[in-house]
Amino acid sequence: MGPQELVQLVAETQKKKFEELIQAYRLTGITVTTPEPDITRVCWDTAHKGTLCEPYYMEIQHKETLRILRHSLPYFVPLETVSQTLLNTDFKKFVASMSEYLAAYVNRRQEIVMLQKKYSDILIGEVESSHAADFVQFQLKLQPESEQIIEAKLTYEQLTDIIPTKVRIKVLLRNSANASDVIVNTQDIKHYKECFHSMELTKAVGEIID
Amino acid sequence: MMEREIFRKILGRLRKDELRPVLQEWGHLGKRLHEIDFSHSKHSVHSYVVKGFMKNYPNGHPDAVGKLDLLCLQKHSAKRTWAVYHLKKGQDSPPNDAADPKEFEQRLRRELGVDFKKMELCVLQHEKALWVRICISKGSKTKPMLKNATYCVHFPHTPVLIVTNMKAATAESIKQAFVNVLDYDDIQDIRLTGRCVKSLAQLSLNKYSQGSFSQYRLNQVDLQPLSHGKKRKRTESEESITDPRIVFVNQKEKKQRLEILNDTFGPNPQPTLEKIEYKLETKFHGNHYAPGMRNHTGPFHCRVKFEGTSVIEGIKNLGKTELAVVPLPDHLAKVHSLAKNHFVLQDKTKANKSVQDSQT
Repeated sequence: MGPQELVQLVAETQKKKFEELIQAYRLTGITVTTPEPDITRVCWDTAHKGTLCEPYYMEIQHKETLRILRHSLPYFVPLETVSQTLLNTDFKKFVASMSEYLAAYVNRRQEIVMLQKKYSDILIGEVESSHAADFVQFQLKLQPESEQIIEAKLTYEQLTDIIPTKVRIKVLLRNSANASDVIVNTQDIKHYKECFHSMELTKAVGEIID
Repeated sequence: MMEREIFRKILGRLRKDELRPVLQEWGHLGKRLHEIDFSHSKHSVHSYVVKGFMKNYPNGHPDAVGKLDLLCLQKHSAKRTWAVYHLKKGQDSPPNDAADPKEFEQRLRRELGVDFKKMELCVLQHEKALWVRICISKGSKTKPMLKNATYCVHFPHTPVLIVTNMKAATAESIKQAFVNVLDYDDIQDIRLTGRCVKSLAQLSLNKYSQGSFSQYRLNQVDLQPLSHGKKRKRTESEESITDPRIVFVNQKEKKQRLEILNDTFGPNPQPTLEKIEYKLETKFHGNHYAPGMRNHTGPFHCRVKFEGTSVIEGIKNLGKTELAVVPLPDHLAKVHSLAKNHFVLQDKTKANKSVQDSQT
């Protein structure tokens, strides 16, 4: 191997090492880089139960004050409100706040995906949800052959919540839209509501059908 | 009966293959849906639907017409022209949004009921947005007419409202109802219109991630940190002519031009806008071609309209095909990030600059 080839190989190895370092840095969840001298790029890497999900980006220009140039955050994150208060006063808190909104959204969304996958045999139809996953509605049978159906409507009042704040449960008979067709055990309803109020979605459904 | 005609008119908007899924989602036929033979002519199928509905609901159903109309609109929303409005909030408190369609409908019904005694209101969730149908009757004794329906699309937790044409008599009341329900202070037309609801939503909601930054929004740039795959590369457009006898002498310029266009518009398809209009209030700059205008000192009023199936894509292609000089001027290059398609271009003066600075 000639000296030029050797220099090239060393340069490529160093480049690969830096790339791996950046990838490792991303595992912290929040990465800050400077693609241009007066622009800072923040990357939020999201995850749910140990599985990495999608990253979100923001480019901030810093001249006299910090100004958001571009971002790929979901439109329902209250970016304007939070940035007005925190962007130029406490940047660290601003970044942490965005991280909280994104983590909560991904958590709620992935819980719905997991619910559909794990309980497809007892779910009736699709799980309906808003884009921010702060309103979730579904129907499920208590047992695969059961005639009784639970209709649940869950509302997460804050976009940083991962446990629903408002839970409405109806117990129906299959092929009946009228809740009064069923003799309802109020203790059961109370138990179902407690499950949804105290644990994440998939775990709550698991607890109810057990 | 009037309702029969209304049903026929609504169902007539659907293609034959769309009838079954829409009627299934409508849900007002119940088991009678399975008795309908969809291989018959559209007219026959419509008759069966109307008969089936009348048997289920001999006295009618207050929400049936509205729900069916809205479901049909969702299939063919491009047949109408939509305008985007922006809700404005002066105070610090967050808006009072409702992601639950039923709760939103109740609030809106209460608000509209203050001004309108007889109306039909329907709210459905579709593609993660709340679609609203408001049909107001002219008098207290007449039923609301189909042609008076106004349709709105609202994305929860955003200040964006996309609306079809509103009758002048009811427009202010409808707008005010949304302002009150969502707890904003004002509503403004942001001069963004078009036929594709999805594109209008994309332009107004993802204003800060258009152009080349759309690659970040669509997760096309970085792989996951623990992934072992190769780094994503930009897909380069391949030359369509592969004859080795043909030599391209301007390959370098072409490549540069494509790179600039890629940085400006990004590699992804552009949102669909059918029209972009520029109202010019600048001085006349074509004295070379019209020497008679040399002494004209005042602003030259002119209106330029680009129209087509996808105007932003067309503007990108102007640069690609060398019909426009690249880099394009800002009023063409940044059009995907401005969330409007009606512009006023003025000469840069100190007064105009301070207005522009205050608006950015």
